Amino acid sequence: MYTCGIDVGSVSTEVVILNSENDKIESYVITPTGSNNKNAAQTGFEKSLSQAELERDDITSVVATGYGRINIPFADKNITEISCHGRGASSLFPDLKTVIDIGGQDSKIIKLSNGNPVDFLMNDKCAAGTGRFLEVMANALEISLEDFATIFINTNDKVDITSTCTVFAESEIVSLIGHGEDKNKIIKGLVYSIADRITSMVERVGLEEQVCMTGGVAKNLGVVKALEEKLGTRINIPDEPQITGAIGAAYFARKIS
Amino acid sequence: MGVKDKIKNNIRNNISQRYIKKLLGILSVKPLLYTYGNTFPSKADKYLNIFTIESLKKAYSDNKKPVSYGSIFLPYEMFHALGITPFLPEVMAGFTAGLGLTSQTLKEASSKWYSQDLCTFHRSASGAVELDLFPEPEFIITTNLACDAAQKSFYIDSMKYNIEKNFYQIDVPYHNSEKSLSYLTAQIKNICNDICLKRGEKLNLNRFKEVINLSNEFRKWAIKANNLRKELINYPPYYNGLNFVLPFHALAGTKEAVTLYRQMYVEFKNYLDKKEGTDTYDNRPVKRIIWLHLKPYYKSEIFYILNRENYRVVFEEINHVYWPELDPEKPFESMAKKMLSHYLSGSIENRINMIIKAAGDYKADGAILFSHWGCRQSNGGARIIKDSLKEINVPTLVLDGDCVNRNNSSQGQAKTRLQGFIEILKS
Amino acid sequence: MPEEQEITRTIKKKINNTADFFKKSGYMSSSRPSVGWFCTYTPEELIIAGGFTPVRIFGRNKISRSESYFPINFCPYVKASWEGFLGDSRDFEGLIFTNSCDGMRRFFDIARRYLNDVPSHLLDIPHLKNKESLDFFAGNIKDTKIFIEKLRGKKITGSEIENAAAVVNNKRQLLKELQGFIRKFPHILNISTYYKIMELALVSDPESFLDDIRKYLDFLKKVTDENSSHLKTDLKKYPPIMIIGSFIAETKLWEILTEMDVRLAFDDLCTSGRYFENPIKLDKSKNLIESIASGYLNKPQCMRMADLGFKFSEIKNNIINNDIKGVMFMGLKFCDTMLYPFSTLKKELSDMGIPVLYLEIEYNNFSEGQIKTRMQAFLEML
Repeated sequence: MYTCGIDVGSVSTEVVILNSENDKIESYVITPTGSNNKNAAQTGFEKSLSQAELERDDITSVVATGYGRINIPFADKNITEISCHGRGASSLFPDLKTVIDIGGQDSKIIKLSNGNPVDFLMNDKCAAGTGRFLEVMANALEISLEDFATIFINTNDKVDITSTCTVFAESEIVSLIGHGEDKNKIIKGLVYSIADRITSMVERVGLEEQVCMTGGVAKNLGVVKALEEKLGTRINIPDEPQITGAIGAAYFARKIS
Repeated sequence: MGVKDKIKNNIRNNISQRYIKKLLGILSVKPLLYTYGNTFPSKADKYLNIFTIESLKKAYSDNKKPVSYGSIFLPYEMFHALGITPFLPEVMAGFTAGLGLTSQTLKEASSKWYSQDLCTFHRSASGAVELDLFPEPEFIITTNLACDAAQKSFYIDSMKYNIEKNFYQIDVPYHNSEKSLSYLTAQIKNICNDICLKRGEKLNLNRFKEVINLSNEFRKWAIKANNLRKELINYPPYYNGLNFVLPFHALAGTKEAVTLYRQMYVEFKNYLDKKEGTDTYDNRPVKRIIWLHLKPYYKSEIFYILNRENYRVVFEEINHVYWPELDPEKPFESMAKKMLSHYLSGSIENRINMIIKAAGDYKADGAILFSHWGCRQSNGGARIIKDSLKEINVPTLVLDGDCVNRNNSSQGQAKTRLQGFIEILKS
Repeated sequence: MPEEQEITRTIKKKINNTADFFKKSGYMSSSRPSVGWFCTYTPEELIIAGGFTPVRIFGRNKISRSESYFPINFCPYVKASWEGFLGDSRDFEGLIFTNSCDGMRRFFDIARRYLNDVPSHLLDIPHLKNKESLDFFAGNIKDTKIFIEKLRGKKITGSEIENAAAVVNNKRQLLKELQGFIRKFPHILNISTYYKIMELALVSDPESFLDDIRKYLDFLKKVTDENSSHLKTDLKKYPPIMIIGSFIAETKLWEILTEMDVRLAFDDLCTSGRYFENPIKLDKSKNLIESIASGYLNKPQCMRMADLGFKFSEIKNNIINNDIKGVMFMGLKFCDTMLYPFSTLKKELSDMGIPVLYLEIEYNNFSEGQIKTRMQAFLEML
């Protein structure tokens, strides 16, 4: 028996096939969402089936999550990414109390009790504190996002970035470069500024250990380090942080079958 | 690093109520305080700093005098007559900006669910209350005069200190009428009686009389000083009228206010007597600006740019003496009249009439309305103010910014707008 | 049982097709001239007594031109309403504003200056609730009466006020009955329908609306009685929630809530409960205006009033009495009156163990996806 979870995000779509007998992840696929949610979900689903060497009929039920969760024709149910991230993360780290999920356009803090969400907070209509913020800044600096972590770790000094607004911060960076500031120091400052933003969100719901970070930005070790420093706690990172929501969805799918 | 910067750094790194008390204890020792005061090139600034530190020392000291939080537009005469020490969280929020503490206070407020859309004066003050940086009050008095934010954030403070029973909101009616006056007079009288009752004291009407007389004396000097500014274009170095919010409001009814404003008058008079010609400076024509609302209380280049371009702020809305002379025989009614005659009370016409008169009296070439983030009452009137000043040919710049949080606006953008406005005035 | 489901479905469809019932009601329904109003502290009684239809302004226009009159971060309800006046909105004989908040005060200023062909008046509402403020408020209501008399060109008589008060009280009572239905039958009466009717109540000619809602309630009673065995449902499936907000009239928001399995067990909005929860007791021993003043001043409180502690206990009592499991707090964006108290309310409610969902609603500019995710997640949590 297998279930499937699909997380249709703004940037990428993740599909996970989960074995109901042994909780093993049989396969997972990460694919760009593009302009058509349904196509991305369909393609991802087919790929993950073939990777797991399974047929459609082997899957007893499918749960969709993420901002494109509605209107996925082959999904049996849709559940929000908040519940799914909570569920997925606590399947990986059983004693989890706080999940920090930073995706492409959303960032959210989920507070858990016995694996169930008891409170949550999402960013408002603003890209500050999301993956998109880092992406815009990486573009302005003409440095690839992957290099942010190494630079962060190897740079001691930072330049304070005062603007939290993506638009203001971008022009601030352009002017800092204009003044001949060291790009590495700017990057260090940027990473701290996103960590500050997230820290204040975490404080609103209250920090409780253990903490885990999910979503694409969790792959950026610089941000993780800065957050650990600001929050004063260790942060657990899943092997593949991007698929946490889809894992949670696959767990929820078991309840349907 | 200068002494002032060192102090600022120390506060930032040791932010706590205990440290503030310690610092005030050291600073307020008379010889040191006056030595510190004398480092200011202007007499007005000297007394401003001395009296501010003394009044903070009182609020932070553990003596028997009760402390009451007050919002900015209260008749502080009642505080002094009742013998309670005023503490003004909104003004303190301005200080948090000057001392570079807002990143901490605003962060605290934000983690306590104060929305980012709210006024930073009130948000920073609430953050400071949450961080326990302010002295514990026995009473909290506020009003809906001018804005909604004060009444709400002050009530929340009263809950934080468990003194909801000692929370008073002076309900200032919209219209300035007989009916409003009697409603308001009764409230002020009731509050004074109630506070006396709670303190186990008798209402001392003689004390009210003394305080009202002092308030009138201060008012007289403030008007005289302002009148000189109708001609004055050259100011003592670093003088900025927007720094005098605390004494103008909270010290009304004290000897200190009388001293300060008399000194200010004398100083202005000397400047005026020394400088001949009232419309040029360094042989360049001077342009006269009237300033509406407040200013950034952190380091900002706005006034540097204005000065460099030979622009002078000749009038600040906040220093306008808006109230009639008070009657020492009728203290409560007088204070009610003071509140009702405030230009920010009721209709925008009250404010506009005052501004238009000031624009004429002070021969304004232009007006700058500093549009503080989240200040609905002031910014909501910007369009009408601009249109009204246009009718008398005074151009207005609505300058978006934040008085307290430097990170909430783009300094570069503000500079560009200011430059653009200057170019318009020149053309 | 499929047959049972079929019956429920048919009934549900009929109930939620309001067009069949509210034929006479609506924005343009009245043959009488109208007077516009904004805040639920405005006594509709006097407008009706003066022979006008009281129309609450809903501001159904998309904000664009009004941006040049108000700052970016300013009450979206005020801006949307002003947009209507700038456009081709219906004609009003007069407008009654209040000094409920900074936003409204500035709105009145803008209207007087830039909309000078419509007479407008401001009713001053005190922030305190005591003997003195009541007298003061009664005096202000008298001024409002004079304003209406001027519009009409004729005095308003005591019996006219009494008749009008009876009409408004009737409306209040029937809306409360409707609220009873939404509490009991979350599976057949839609939240969307409920708020659509609330809106009709606030903008329609009162007598026509009364006719319509009576018929509608009769129908509701009849079908729910007749089919009580079919309509039985497991109410546990529908967690009882409470909505707290100010002027929240977001059609899409109600549609989202309608799609979810939830029971609206209490709502503290000025487009709903805070409007109809205050029947005016016309005390023969008292003067009419005083009775009206007392009724309005003591109605369920808006957060604008000075005593926030009183408001908090009102909310807490309503949570206990209605067995509320979760609160959706809907703050209108840039509404200081709502946003400041939230910091404390959140703490007070979590001390009670009541989860709160915080939503900032930008009126007429609604990001459906975000709100939907938050609401759905909140209900999954409950």
